[in-house]
Amino acid sequence: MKRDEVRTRVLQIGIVPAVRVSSEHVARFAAEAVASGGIPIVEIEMTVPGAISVIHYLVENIPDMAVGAGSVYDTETARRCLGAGANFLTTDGLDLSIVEFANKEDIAVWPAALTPTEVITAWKASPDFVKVFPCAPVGGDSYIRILKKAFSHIPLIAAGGVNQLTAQKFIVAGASALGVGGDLIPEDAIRLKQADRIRELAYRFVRFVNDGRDHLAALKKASRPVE
Amino acid sequence: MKREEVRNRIEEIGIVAAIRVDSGENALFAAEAVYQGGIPIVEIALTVPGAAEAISHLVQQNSQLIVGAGSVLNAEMAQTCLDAGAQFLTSDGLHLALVEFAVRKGVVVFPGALTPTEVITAWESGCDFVKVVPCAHIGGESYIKSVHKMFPHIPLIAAGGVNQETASRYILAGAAALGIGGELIPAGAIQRREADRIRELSHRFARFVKGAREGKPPQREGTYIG
Repeated sequence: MKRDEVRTRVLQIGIVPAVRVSSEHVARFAAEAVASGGIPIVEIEMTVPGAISVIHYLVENIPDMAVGAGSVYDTETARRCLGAGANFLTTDGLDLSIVEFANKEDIAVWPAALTPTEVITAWKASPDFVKVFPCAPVGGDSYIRILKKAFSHIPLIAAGGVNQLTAQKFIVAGASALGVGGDLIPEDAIRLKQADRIRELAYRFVRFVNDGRDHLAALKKASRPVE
Repeated sequence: MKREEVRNRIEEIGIVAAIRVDSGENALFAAEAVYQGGIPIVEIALTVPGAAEAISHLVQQNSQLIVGAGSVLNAEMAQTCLDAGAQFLTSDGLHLALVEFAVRKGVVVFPGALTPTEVITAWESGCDFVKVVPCAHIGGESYIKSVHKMFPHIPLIAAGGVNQETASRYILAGAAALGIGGELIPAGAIQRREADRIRELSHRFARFVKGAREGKPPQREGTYIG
């Protein structure tokens, strides 16, 4: 999957499920469940044991899925993810060396940033998105709204504590997409192997994003001057 | 006391008493009171007039007390504190030169950091803990929870606005220890020389940490909506 296809996919679906679990096997299960729930995007965190082989497995077995690597902390790891077939790279903090590496390899990338300074610095390095993390504890959708007011040209992914109650609000506030982890892939659902529950949550989050976008479109239409 | 021992002691006690008062004499009073109350770790902020002398005095007077220097800005200030006998160094912001200095000298150091980017940068520089400050103002324990989830390997000290209501929540959220200042050493208690009040607060905070560590974290409920 090419860089612009990944970007388009993220913009279209609006959700990047973050898989942060304790084994390779479970990571595959979670990724397959969200894919069957209508979200063909997944980010496998480097904290998952055997993360790179999970990426390889998913790329081989779910060909239409955008499979990425999360919590990438150095270019050596980034290179290994690329070797396994990863379609995008993302970080937990603002690591410009990963963005540079991704640009050189022409692979989609979104570093995490929190303060306005970090968001600007991130964007200047030419990533595809900037992930605002962790956005829920620092003010939630109102924080995203303020950032978008200042940086309307920067596509933001809101991540860190996004849940069923807040997902739509983050979209209405201007987030291009949402990074969702534990609220889409609950620990119990993993333990109890409830693929149907994860699928149901995936449907819901997709609906929250779509409802949020419809709401935005309606707002835009309403504010257009009558001709 | 070696670096390793100081680090272990901070982890064990789980509280670093931050002393930011307006005189060296008050600092000695506060340090003695928290020690009597069961918290043998104090950080003397370098904003205290005569901070280095206070550190030196405390170190000589009480070998059981771990005395560190807070609000250290650079290596030069750090050296002065080490000469005075400081056993750890900490800062309010992310001063990498300070961390480098401490690592070279083999002394415990924990810089202040706030965003995930700063937390990672701090940790990669080789410090012993990362102090997340001011954590109460940017989301409190839910912020610590998020950061801890991302970086379970990084021992975090939650500092800045930690109080009696929130102390145990920070521990449950994953903080390795707490930095507590005004809520443990109230300005009024210093003014009126109420050592017993500071002792009582020390007992309480120690109990909050212990209780949270022993208790099971509350199970999250209601995420499954059928």
